[in-house]
Amino acid sequence: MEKVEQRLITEDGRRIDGRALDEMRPVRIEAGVLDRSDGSAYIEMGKTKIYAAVYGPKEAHPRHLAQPHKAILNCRYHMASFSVEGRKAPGMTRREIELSKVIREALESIVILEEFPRSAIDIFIEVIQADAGTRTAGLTAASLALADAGIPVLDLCAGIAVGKVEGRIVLDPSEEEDKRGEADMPVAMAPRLGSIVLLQLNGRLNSSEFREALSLAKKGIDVLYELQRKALSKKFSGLTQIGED
Amino acid sequence: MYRIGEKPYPSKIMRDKLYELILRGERLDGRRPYQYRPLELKTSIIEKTDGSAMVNLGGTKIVAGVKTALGQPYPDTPDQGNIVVNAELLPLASSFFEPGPPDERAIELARVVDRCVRESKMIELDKLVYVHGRTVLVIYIDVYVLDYDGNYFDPSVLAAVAALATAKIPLYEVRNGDVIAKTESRFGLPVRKFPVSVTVGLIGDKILVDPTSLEESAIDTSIVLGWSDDDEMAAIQKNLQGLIRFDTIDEVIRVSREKSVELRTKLMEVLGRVGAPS
Amino acid sequence: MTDYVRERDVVTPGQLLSDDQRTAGAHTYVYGGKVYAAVAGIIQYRDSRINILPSKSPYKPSESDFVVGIITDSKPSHYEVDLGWHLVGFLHNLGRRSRIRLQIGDVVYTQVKNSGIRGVFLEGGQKLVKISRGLLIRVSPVKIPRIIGKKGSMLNVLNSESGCRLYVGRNGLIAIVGESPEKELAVASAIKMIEEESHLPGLTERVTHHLRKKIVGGEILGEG
Repeated sequence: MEKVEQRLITEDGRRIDGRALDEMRPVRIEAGVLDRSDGSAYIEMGKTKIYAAVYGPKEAHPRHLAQPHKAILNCRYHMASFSVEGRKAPGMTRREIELSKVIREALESIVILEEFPRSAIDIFIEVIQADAGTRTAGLTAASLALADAGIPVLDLCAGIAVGKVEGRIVLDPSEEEDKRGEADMPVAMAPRLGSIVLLQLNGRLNSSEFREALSLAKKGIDVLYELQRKALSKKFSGLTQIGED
Repeated sequence: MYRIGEKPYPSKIMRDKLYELILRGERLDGRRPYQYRPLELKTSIIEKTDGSAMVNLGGTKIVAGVKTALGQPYPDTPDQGNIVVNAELLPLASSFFEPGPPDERAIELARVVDRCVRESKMIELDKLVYVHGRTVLVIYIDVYVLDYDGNYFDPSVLAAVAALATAKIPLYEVRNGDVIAKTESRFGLPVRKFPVSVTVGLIGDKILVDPTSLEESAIDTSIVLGWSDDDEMAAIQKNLQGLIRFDTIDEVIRVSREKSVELRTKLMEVLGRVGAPS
Repeated sequence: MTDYVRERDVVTPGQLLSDDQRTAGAHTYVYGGKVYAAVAGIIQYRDSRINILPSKSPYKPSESDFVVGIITDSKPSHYEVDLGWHLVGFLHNLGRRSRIRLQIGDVVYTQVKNSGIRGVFLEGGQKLVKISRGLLIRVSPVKIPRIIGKKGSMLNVLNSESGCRLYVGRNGLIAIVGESPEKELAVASAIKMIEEESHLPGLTERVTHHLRKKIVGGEILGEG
């Protein structure tokens, strides 16, 4: 207990991994990475590594769950048992059930569900390595996977966490900062719709800190959004001539 | 071309009606947009608990009970007591709820209550350690929704906080490494904050607080904000599908803060009457 | 009238396409009087409408589409037909006078009578064909127009070069019925080629060459 914990932010405003306060971890985003699914995506943010896949629209099961005027979305956010320090029990934890719900609700706000009555769209998010920010990275990948499947959406959505660490607001907290920080706020937005699709807060913030955190999140989300667009456009690169039908 | 935003008949006309009323500063049940339903709060209603409370918020009724026991701390917090929150949406409360293990809504409710209590640092958990790394106090909070007319978050947080604030636990003594309860004298938990949550519904560019279940089916989306005191938030949960427009956020924060002060004042009135620690 | 995109631009969902809602075409949506993209794809103007050509898209049945389906259930008044996507097609019983007898597992080729909130209803009359043998393959529904070709030109090539009869469903299922499995497989590989190279020029020539090499030339040179 006597061990003195290292400060998370240095005098000159650097974080323990060397990042500036408003700097996110290196990101990699790819679309169309799993062949069996109708649409898929992969995201890496630092050491966080996540696959997302979309199946459907397909028949809703059981059939009584089908809605006559729109598709239903099913979403499963799951962490592999080896994705964390130690070993996580393989089944769905309460945390995973809650996160599956908030991610699904975020996606329901952007998918044009009315287009596919009586059907179901399944979204699977599998975290193969968790190093903070998994729900927002998972949502970012899921949104991309939906677009990859050609399912009509109002906009893409992307998400990132902001944290309060030693009194300062930081973008994309690391696991260490998340654990020892004062607050963690996952945010996801559909930027072109000018809207928030997911918002949670764990920890304490006053209203001016909240505003600062939200605008910092917007900054990170704009970067992720551009990467999503690039990943999608890549599928069409080199298509210089489109045939007539 | 895709047709968007076509909701089925019953909720479309309800949405239009609700929005029309909100524009006039009114609501279906006669309330104003920023007005809560009547709140009733009673504590110490279940004798076999260490602390309990019942809350009626309009037609939504919640009961919360607190029990404590000795147990092992979590490996990552060897110097803190534990909080365990469970919530159930009982089938007797609404036809929307079904028997069976807690579904995702019940789990979400429990976790939002947990975050309000834990992140606000309501209870000084480091004062509930008897043997470091081995024996601590475990506080079980069970929340039951008995009657449901929308917004189960705010009354559940109120009930949990009131039950915790009025709970009485035995005095524990450590003798030769054993922890022994002296049941003849009971003490209150070390309470520092009184978190409350405010549920805000969004419809177009307008907002309202404390939606009923009818309003919940008509609004675009909703958001729960947990305030640990007059200045600080401890938890937020966007709940339900739908978009929150950037230009409504400032008003959401302002109104929820104002309402949290109002709810906390009512809570303190009740706690003051029963002589809770301040 | 202002458009923000040109022919063959690549767009992504949420992108503003035009201020004029009359230009809203396939895979777009209108919000606040403006036209936005709902999918990622390539812009194609047709009759002053902005359409997006995605690389994949779920099948959405519309009236008079020809489809290929599999009978999955037989009810007192109708058959249920799996169209490979989320919607089940309904086919009314054909009646005693019909020469066609259907069983679960049979493959049919027919037209969509109507498609709406109640389901997809299929033609059971003269237009219905029961496909009793052949090779069934599945392709992305957005590629079907290329497989058919302009006024059926590509289909003609596939048919005349191989002698196979093709039943092409808008839902992405295609039945290839030929004299031998070799010919059917040659057509299937040609269709795969069309799917993958639909954006490159000279496709018809390459498909012809591919089929001739596979069929006329017999088993030649270890190529694909």
